[in-house]
Amino acid sequence: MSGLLVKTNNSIRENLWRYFIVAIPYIWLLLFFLAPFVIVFKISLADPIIAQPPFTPFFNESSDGGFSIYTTFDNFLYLFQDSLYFVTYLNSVKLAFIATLFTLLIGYPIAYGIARSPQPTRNILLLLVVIPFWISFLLRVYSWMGILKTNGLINGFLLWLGVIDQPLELLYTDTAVYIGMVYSYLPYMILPLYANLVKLDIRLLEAASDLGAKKWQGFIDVTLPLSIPGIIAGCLLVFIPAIGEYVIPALLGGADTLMIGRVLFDEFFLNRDWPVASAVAIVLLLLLVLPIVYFQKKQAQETSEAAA
Amino acid sequence: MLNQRSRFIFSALCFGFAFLYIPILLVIIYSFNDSRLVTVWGGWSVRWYVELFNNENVLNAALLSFQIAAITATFATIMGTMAGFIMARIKKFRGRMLFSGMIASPLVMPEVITGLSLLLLFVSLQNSIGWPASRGMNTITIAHITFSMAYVAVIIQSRLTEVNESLEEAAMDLGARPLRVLWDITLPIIFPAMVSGWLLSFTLSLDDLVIASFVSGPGATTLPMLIFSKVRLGVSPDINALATILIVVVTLGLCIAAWITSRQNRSAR
Amino acid sequence: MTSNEENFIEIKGISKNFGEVVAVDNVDLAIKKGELFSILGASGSGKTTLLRILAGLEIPSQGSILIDGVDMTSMAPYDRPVNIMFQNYALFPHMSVFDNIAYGLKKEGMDKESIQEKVERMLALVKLEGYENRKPNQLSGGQSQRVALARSLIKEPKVLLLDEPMAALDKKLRQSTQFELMDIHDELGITFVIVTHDQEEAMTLSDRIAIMEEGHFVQIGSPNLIYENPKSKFVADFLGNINLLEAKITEQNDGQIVVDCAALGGELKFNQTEQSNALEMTVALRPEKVMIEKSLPTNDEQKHVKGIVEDFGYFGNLSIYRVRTESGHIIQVSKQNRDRVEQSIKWEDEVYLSWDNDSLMLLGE
Repeated sequence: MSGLLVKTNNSIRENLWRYFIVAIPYIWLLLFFLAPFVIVFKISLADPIIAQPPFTPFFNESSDGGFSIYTTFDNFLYLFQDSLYFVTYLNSVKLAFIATLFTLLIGYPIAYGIARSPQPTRNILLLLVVIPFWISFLLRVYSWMGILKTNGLINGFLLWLGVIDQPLELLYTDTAVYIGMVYSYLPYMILPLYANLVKLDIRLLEAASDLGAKKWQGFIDVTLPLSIPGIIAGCLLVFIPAIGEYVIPALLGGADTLMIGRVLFDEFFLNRDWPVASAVAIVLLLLLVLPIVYFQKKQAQETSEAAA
Repeated sequence: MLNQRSRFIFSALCFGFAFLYIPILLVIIYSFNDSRLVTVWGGWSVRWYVELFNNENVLNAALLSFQIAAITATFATIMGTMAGFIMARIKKFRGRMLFSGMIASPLVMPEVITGLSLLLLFVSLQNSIGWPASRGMNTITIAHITFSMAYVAVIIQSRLTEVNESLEEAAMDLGARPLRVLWDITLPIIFPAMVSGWLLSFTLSLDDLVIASFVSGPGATTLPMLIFSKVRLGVSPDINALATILIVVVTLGLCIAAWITSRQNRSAR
Repeated sequence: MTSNEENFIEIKGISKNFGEVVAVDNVDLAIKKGELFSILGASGSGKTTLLRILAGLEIPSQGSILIDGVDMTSMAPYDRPVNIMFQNYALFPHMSVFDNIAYGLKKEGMDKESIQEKVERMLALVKLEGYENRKPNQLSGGQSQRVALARSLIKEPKVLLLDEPMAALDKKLRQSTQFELMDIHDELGITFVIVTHDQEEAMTLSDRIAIMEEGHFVQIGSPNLIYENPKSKFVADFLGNINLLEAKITEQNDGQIVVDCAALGGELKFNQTEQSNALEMTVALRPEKVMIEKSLPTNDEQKHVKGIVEDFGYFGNLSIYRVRTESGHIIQVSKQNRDRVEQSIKWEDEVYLSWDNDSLMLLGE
């Protein structure tokens, strides 16, 4: 173990501050991160009632003073019986998946181009990728509303060109959601890809071309396989938040654009059905457990490799 | 001379940056449009800016958002630095697995789940111990600190893993006690990372709509909540003006930060 | 010498485990006061762990450490009269050269004038006057090393620990720095313990060397003793070049072992008090102790073998030959290029190899 953690006779007192440093964030996270999930789980097993709060209590104080636990799986059964939820889950995965694919297709050449740029330009280009990332997400999604709407810029331009004579239905469609997602998540894709591509040893490509590979073959045989970790990191960084996305489908999607984040939000605020909303959240969480665990494992692997 | 490959790279970059910036530029341009019909050009005007600064709701929401962001950023930086330090430097303690899981999860947790779960916690706490008595700035700030500190922790942890531990050992070897080492060596070295962490937390807090919508109570409307309720019904010209102001502020701040870092790097060389 | 000076550093039964891995395994060692002592080993041999235990950066799983008669085993690093120079120097990047060197004194709470005076003296010692306001990233590798040395010496520790002090320097610089380090050692009279994987460095610098393998010391002694009288095949092979030739024991009686070594043309007698149970032993012969000639050695008392030069490498100051003997074995020979003439012995030449019987060593495993 590190020397910083030496526990010698005269330093136990001095190590008190260590317990302090560990305890503060630990307690905070237990209280405001872990405890809420326990409560969500608990409420997903309750019945909705018209009251404040609108669900049946978990513990029932019975007349003889003891406690009985009241649980119901009705909310989960309801999710499976009503095909709306099933379709919504599937649709979320589909939308997130296709959006991730497009983000990769657009992001890869950009990341590649930045990584191959000479030094001063490279930093400026990187800054240009990062700036939108810091500008409000909400406003960036909003900026497409003006472009996509019926009398918006795209339609105006196409009408002026004479390509179409009727404005296209663009806003409030799945297409708009795809555009919004690719646009919003593009920096998440470019940054890990760039970080990977910039590390690529140019001598490997020189070796490939020395051995007779054409430029595009060198790319297929060397660059692409070596950039797979970057591709995976970028795709997960886009896919995971895209699945639970609320703002993009709410602003750009149509009434029929079903996404799970939006359904949860509506279930909660419009229907005030907290137990069902909780059950939706639990299922969404289960849906994300695999990619999240995979991502964290990768992440831990990389940090330990970097430390070694 | 451009060969085929560089031409491809060049057009990919042009297309990519056009895609990233044209929507933002359009918002800026149309914020100076005199016409109420957002997409019809009615001549240059700053009337939407004037209207914006006379709108008390907007000003109050902005003030609230900035207050929350500042408090969030400060506390998230303190606790996130602690958490990052724990992850990078304290290799063994009871419950480390749970801790690393909890610190990494907010990064990938869908906002709707974080928001919902925190609201349910606040409601349960209110029912059982009477705190928080009402929801608003206090609950939003707590929620924002919780997810922002995870981002700070990641920044600090990756910075600390870059820093060779022998620096801290050297200080200890030269007679500095552990707390002194932290103060003399560790903190000065991670200070730039702490500044980035603060700025990131501030931005994340200022940007958040979903979590704030869940945990806020009546009467507390943050800027994103206000913007959302307006744009939900369609494009609105004063939001263009508001967006322009935010974009200009953020871009200026980032450029200044980039300029300072590049100058520091140069003088260090 | 008092016993405290003879056993200035006493390592008694030190072990260190990292989980399942045993890095240091029940090691005993005594280092004299003022000695320049090297611990030499390959990476993973446990030498750095032992050094870190001496510095207090690792707590041993077992055993104890005494320095100048005081038990150090559970003393925190900041309380020990020991300083360490790290392999990568570990200079504080945010402090100037002056602040780096002064750091240890500041922690002692020394007054400003004394610090100023001491740092200046130390800068003079490592020949870095005028560099006090530089930042570590404005220094060359050699300069960084001197700052690290100055910083670890300024508290006048009883023991200075050096972890691979020359590893980051290029070869030319390394040689001159080695001599400067020896000068500083002589001037200050501090006990130096150096950890290194570079056998040349250990040989040049040290009063004594301990060779470490898999957590154990395999031999401790002066460079000369270890080079000329290695205890085992491992040590012989680790330190410098050597021919290791198989031999079979044919006869053993009191004080004498006779072996049959095909590569060296038959029976060889060794005076050895220790009896060996093994049937096979190794005869070791350093390349520079073999004479190589094109004609038959004039002294026919001397043993010799005939062979053909299979390969040779010209190194300027010396040439190394790989000779295949008539028995089919390869023997390496090095020869000083004393005369400024063209190489007289070349590929495919027929040569005669001879040696003094004293140069042969009989080694077990």
